[in-house]
Amino acid sequence: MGHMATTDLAPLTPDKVMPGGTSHEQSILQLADFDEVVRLYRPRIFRFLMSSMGDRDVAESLTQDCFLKAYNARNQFRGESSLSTWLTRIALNLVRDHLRSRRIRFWQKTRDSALDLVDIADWIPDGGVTPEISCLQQEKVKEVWSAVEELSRQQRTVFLLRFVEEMELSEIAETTGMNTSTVKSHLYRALRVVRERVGGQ
Amino acid sequence: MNRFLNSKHDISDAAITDASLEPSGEVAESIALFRAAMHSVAMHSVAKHSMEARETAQPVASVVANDWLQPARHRQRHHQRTTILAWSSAMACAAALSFAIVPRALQTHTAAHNDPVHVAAQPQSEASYTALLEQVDNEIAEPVPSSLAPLTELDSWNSTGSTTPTENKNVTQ
Repeated sequence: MGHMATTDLAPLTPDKVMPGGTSHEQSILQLADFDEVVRLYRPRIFRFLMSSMGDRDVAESLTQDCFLKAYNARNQFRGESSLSTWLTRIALNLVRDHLRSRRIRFWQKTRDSALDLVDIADWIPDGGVTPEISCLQQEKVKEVWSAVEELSRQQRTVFLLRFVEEMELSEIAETTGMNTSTVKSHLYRALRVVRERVGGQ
Repeated sequence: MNRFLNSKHDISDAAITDASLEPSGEVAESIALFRAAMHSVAMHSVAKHSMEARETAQPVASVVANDWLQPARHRQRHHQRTTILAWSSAMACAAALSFAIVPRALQTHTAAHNDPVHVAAQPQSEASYTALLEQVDNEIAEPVPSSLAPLTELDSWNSTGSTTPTENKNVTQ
């Protein structure tokens, strides 16, 4: 447990690589078959929205909104960024709009579909470990999740895009519209909070 | 709390290296577990929603054509209607307010203009002020009696001629 481990993420290189090795032209062609786009990217967009919002139902609604927006604007997609980046950017704007409108409608209660710490911790894939180890793993996931909930919106977005969606820094910068140095700064701060919470370093 | 954390340690760009952005050890392990859990939750939720949609929707193959995006379309239309309604209401309120306020304001303005005190207090423009002075001058101007004629000559000589102190002294003498 205490051994050194590193995340098996994409390298922190600035060069742009399309996910799955697809080219821009392929992305545009891919967009022509929108059902396929939904099938391929829905889990990813839903996951990002769910981890950002912490609510399954809201995430599902925003996922639908995201794909509807993408469908309506599919003719405007020029393939300058990857399809995944484009969709994530739409999702990010939806999160921003939703949080803004939720701040205005502050009297509305959060719903039962909000993700609970226990909920998430229960979803660790069973790797045939002993109950004790499984319990420890659940604790770790809870610690990370509570640290993520403490982060500011931008830090949280950058952290989730990097460590849950496994995006490169350049892709995150493109998606969020930040400079790469700003992305690094947010990521550094987010990691520091997580480290303090997890207590590893 | 976040602001406190941010301001507590100011980070220079030099301090941020690629290595510092890569978690290691227990932190990396925890993040990997967190990622696995999030992936599992998401996969399960998507599968569940898809199953529910498949049970309720018509047997049409296209996601775009049948359903799954239908609620989003409803929400979009509802949002558009709400926006239009809100703007219409705002415009109606603004129009009602202007209908109520503008005539009253105009009335007050006209009354203020007719008020003599208000008229007297109004600042005059320079041109009208000069014209008024000329008018007053004309009104009060009278021909000078013949006995005072030398004085007027003296006055004109004073105003046009040299005005050195010694000359003035001589004139008064």
